[in-house]
Amino acid sequence: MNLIEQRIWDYLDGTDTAEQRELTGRLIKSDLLYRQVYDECNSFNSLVSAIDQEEPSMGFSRNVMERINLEPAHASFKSLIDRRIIFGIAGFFLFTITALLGVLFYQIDWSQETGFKMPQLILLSLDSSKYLNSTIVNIFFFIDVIIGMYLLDGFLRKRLRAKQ
Amino acid sequence: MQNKYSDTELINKVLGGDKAAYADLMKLHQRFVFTLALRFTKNREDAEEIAQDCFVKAYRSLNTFKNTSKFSTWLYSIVYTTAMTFLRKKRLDVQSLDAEGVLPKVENHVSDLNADEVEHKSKMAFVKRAIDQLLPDDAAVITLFYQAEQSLEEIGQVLGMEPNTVKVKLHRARHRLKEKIENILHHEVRELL
Repeated sequence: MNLIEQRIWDYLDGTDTAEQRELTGRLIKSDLLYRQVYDECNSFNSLVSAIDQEEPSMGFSRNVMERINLEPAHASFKSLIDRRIIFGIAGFFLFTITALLGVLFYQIDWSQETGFKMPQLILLSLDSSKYLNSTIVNIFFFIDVIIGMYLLDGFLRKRLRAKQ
Repeated sequence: MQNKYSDTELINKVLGGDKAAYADLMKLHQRFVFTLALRFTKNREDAEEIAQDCFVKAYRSLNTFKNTSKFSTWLYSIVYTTAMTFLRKKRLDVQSLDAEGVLPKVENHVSDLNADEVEHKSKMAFVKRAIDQLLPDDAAVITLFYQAEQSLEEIGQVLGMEPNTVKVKLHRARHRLKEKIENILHHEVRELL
């Protein structure tokens, strides 16, 4: 592509600087070659811009909507519930908890000796072998493997769907 | 088609759970999505499959669409990635059409129209044939610029390129398209351009 054509395209697309634009505009008016390339580029633009868009088949929308109807709807709690209601409920709970704690602390007589002692925790000797025999351990592992496979299946399905 | 709702209003409706609003949103964009897909595949059946997939994908990820760009730009980027994946899978060979074989086909097809219509239809048919002969990337840039009226920045977003790279690509694509039209029309191009 020659320099003149490049300049004319920049001029038509409006991608040139103000100085270049002024210069190209002057050249189009004064230079016959510039004028000729300008007319050619303009004709090309109108020719290509006039192309109609293609029309898909009659059943296009129906086919897409059939697939869309199989998808879960987008309605989220965020869009269904007014944000003010959520803040209202949160504020109510925050207020009642704070008020309750306030009343509790207010009623405590901090100067009085309560005589309260922390309880002593004595663990009974526990014979774990009675409950954890090899059968129980095997069942436990078996259930773990099944849960693991179930989760892996779900993960792979999700990935496959995302790829499609 | 004239729709009383804007893209943003329709998107909000869909996100609020109104699936029927998606049909309206789709009607606004389906022709162009299909046209763009066709530029890549050169085949109506494949283009329709890609366009359908794009609308389903767009629906699934509609909640990730941020209003920082136009919905159409976001949608066309889905078309581009879907079409490229499709082409990679199909290993499509872009075959040049024989220019000599095109002319008689068009003449036969438009024989029952009046002279002006014939001329217009012929011109359009020639240009479409020429675009079909371009590489998918060139055809996409031309289509996005002229038919979707996207700016160089927006085309850059769709194709994942810098606006300057798009500018160079557009210049080259125009040059190639002009050559293709000249090849098809031979000496008649002088009258057209």
